[in-house]
Amino acid sequence: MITLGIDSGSLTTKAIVLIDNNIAGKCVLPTGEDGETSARSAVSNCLTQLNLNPENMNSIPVVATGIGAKSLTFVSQHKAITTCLARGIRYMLPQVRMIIDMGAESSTVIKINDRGRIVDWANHDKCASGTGLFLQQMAKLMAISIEEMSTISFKAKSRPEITSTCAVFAESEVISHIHRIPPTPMPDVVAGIYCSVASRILALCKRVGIEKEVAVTGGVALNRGLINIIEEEMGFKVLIPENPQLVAALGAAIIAGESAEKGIYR
Amino acid sequence: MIFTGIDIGSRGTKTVILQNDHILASTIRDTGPDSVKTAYSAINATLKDTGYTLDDINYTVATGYGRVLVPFANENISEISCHAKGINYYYPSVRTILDMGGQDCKAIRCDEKGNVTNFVMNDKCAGGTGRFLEMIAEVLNLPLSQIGDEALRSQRSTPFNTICAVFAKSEAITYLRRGISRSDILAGLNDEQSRYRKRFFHHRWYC
Repeated sequence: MITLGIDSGSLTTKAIVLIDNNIAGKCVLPTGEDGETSARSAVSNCLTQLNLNPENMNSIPVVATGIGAKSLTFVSQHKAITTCLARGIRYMLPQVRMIIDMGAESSTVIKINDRGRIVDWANHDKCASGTGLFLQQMAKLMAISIEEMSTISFKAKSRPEITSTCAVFAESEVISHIHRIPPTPMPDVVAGIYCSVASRILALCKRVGIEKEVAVTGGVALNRGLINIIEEEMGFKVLIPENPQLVAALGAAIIAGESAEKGIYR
Repeated sequence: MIFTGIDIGSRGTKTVILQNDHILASTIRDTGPDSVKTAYSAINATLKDTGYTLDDINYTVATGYGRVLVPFANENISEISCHAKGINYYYPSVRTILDMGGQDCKAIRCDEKGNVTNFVMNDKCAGGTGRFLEMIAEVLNLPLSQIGDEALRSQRSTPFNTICAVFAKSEAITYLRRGISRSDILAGLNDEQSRYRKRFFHHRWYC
């Protein structure tokens, strides 16, 4: 059986195709202006990878999640991002009890039990502090790429404290570090930024209570430098699934399969 | 008797010279990176046409976040107390002041003598501060001085769902690309900011 999962995020749209519960195709595209268009092209992209006709989209069970899911017209069902993440992580790393999902515009922490059910969760989406957008803005400010930022952070000798929660105020703090005499070395500034993000995430984790194993998902999980500092702050190693930004889409595709088996739709 | 007040804010430095309870001169300028230098240049610019020098001033009070860096000040007083005294000079009947500065936002309660009785402050987030307006003006490619009038020309304000300056900026860019007018975007932002302030102050006040 073929099923599809779509995660329509604020910055990127992710799609995954499952054939008999095995990942057969995947795609990550920028969301752009219109969620529907990017979701459709992500799905077409996946289906053409498998030599399937994208016209057949309507005969495949599709579950959508993410912030833009409600605006998609061609899907069979919407599911909460927390549900999809829990299901996706159970497929990839069944030992995980806590998921930290770090997206472009929000961070979510989900606690799950040994049966993969959600016990508790906490989420932060009110402001840019501690999100992917925050990191992107900092990279732009320092005129380096997100990847370079991650690489140089390992060379940091100290970690200047960035005290502001607000991304705008943190930006001024970073500017004053760069223009200080003598200037704070770039790797140290980056490490300071990562520390402030890590402390924001840690506070969110503490709201639901930290439980091992911990996995980090979402696009920000690809940032090795930040993960390194999160691990230091936590005091233990975290797990990063393969393709961390696709976990919610995977969960959606699994749910699509289960619903189809139960004959809920189509 | 000549008294001066100097307010070194996060973005602007303001100076007033009082002679026998009347405003003799005043200036406003950007704070810049060196507060000590700014303090001197601000006071000298204010004194310029008055015929007095720094030595003629009987007493100086410094306020604002850079108040400790004013070398010629006789006293440092928090901007909250100064706001209450200042508004009492103009409008003795005022009991609540909403102070919207460059990097923070405060609400201050005062009595008939201009003494502070209570205050709440938001300095954690750039939402609804002068800094926020600056960022938006930049995105919309308008001078800061024009965004007020531009907002008033709006026919239908665009709904914004966020007070976060970073999110609001990207939302504004999206709306611009969709062809929504700058005045409708500004009006929407103003609506959201007002709602936010009202919520924030109500919540803090009665907690």
